[in-house]
Amino acid sequence: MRRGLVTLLLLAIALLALSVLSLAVGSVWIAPKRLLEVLWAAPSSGAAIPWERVVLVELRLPRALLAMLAGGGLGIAGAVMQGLFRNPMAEPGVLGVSAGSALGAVLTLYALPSMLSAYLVPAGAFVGAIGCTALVWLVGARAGRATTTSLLLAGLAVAACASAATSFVLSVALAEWEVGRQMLDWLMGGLEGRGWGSVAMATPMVLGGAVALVAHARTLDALLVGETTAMAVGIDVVRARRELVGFGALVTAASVASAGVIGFVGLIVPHVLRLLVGPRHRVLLPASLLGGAAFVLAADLACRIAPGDLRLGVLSGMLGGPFFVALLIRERRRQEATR
Amino acid sequence: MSPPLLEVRELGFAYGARIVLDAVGFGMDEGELVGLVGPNAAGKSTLLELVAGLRKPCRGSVRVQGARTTDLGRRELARRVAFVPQSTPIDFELTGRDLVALGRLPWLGRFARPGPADERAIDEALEELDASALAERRVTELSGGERQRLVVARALAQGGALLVLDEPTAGLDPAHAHALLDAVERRVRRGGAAALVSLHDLALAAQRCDRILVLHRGRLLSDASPIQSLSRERLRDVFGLDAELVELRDGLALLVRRAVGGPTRPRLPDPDAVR
Repeated sequence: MRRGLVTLLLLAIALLALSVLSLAVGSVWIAPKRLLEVLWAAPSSGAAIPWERVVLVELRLPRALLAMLAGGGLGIAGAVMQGLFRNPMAEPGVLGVSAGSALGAVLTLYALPSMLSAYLVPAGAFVGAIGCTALVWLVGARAGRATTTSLLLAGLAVAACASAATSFVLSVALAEWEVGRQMLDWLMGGLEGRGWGSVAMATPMVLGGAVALVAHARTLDALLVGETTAMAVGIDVVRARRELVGFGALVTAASVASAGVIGFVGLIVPHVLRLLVGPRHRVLLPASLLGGAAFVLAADLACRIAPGDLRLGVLSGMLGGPFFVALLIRERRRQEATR
Repeated sequence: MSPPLLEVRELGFAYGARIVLDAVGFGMDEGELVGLVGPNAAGKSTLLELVAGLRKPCRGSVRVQGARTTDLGRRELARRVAFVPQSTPIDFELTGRDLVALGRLPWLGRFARPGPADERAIDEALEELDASALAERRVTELSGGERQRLVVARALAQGGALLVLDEPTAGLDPAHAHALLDAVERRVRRGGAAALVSLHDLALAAQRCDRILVLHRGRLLSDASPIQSLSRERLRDVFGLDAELVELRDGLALLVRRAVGGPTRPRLPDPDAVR
């Protein structure tokens, strides 16, 4: 328990440090000391608004907040899916959320004139994500009581269909160069040009969903030792699964709609944190929220510093893959050592 | 007069058209250790799951302390009945204590943390199963027997008046099997509780249980003392054994001579059919 609290505290400190850095770094460096002065000073009437304030309030602050929301959402949703499916390889996309959001975004870009669609893409992505999850639930639940296995298989099937449909729309749209470019741009994930509107949309869904998920922490603990045992200790497993899938999808959809598809966050962050704080969800879920937020914030920071046009989703995958492989090797060594 | 701890009446259950249980009825009072035996596919696990309220009966009723299981909420039911399923999959690195602590779940509010009473119940249950040393170990690193002790400790920590255990001794060596039943028996004899245990080991059932229920093809054939329930005829007709229970000075022993071609004798593969 103490180890858990210490980890949470360290994660919070890391997140704070990263957010200061994220505000300070950019095409123009704003010293951390100056950050507070600028943000604190109320724009008194008459006085000229310092240019730094415009940069911070209009560009860097919403971007940093959105990075944290998207990362945190993916982190906690990943932890929930891994617990629910009793599989450390599960991630927020297992229920078709990511594939659905990609389809929703691509369709929005294709169907609507470009002026309108630019603003409506997050909404389209969100609708696609929720729609796909609902479909997965309907298909999976038809086979009796919606067992986790049937949900997992339905998720695979629906995600495959949605991906194929996305590719189809993309191939049709490539004829119009600009639309195709916008689609590819969105699919690679990133936080360019997001403003307060996205923050306002994501905040209640990610934070509200996170609270609802943390309320189910003990349910998830019990599910780790099987659904029968969970029922035996008084959990309404059918209802709990419905709520976990519902809130998990909501949080994931809000995250993906605001930042695009960022791979690996929802897989790695909970996995690493489980090694640090253990599998109990009372600590693991908040830790994954903070950890995911810190990870995406750091990745976005790296994208902005890096020369050239590195994309968030690309960087996350490029860092995440090797890191994950290293982790698996280390785990295997450890297991062999204890044997 | 308070209602009996457990009252099963005219219980029927079917998976689709396949009838698994037919008009099963029996009762249990506090202080009893009751064994449930029967050949494979007799319906033992289904009966135990119905008693624990994990399934809804198709016909008849199960009452625990006077209340029908179908009328009680999941949590309320879990406070009265502690069920241990046949197998407990554990792939995540919970500690022994984490596992036992799950037994306190029906007593905790959603955000409440376990209080001193909960911690005490967990400590006690660990001690009763001689598992205190396993509390801080990772469950994934334990042997099957050690894990099983923790799983039963979870049920004891749950504190319900009725313990329902499905094959708790499967896969355990004799010493561990007896030690496990010792712990269950101590809890039952202490008063205020009873245990219904399914066992595939007939000798163990005869030696340890006050009463034995014999289930065969979904019907309850006997509900009596071990000597009466496991008569020579029944051992032959139900279990396909030429065997008898022998009364020794300080207990019962099962003498098995050979398997006979009873109705439940497992069909051996036809050697000619194998290519």
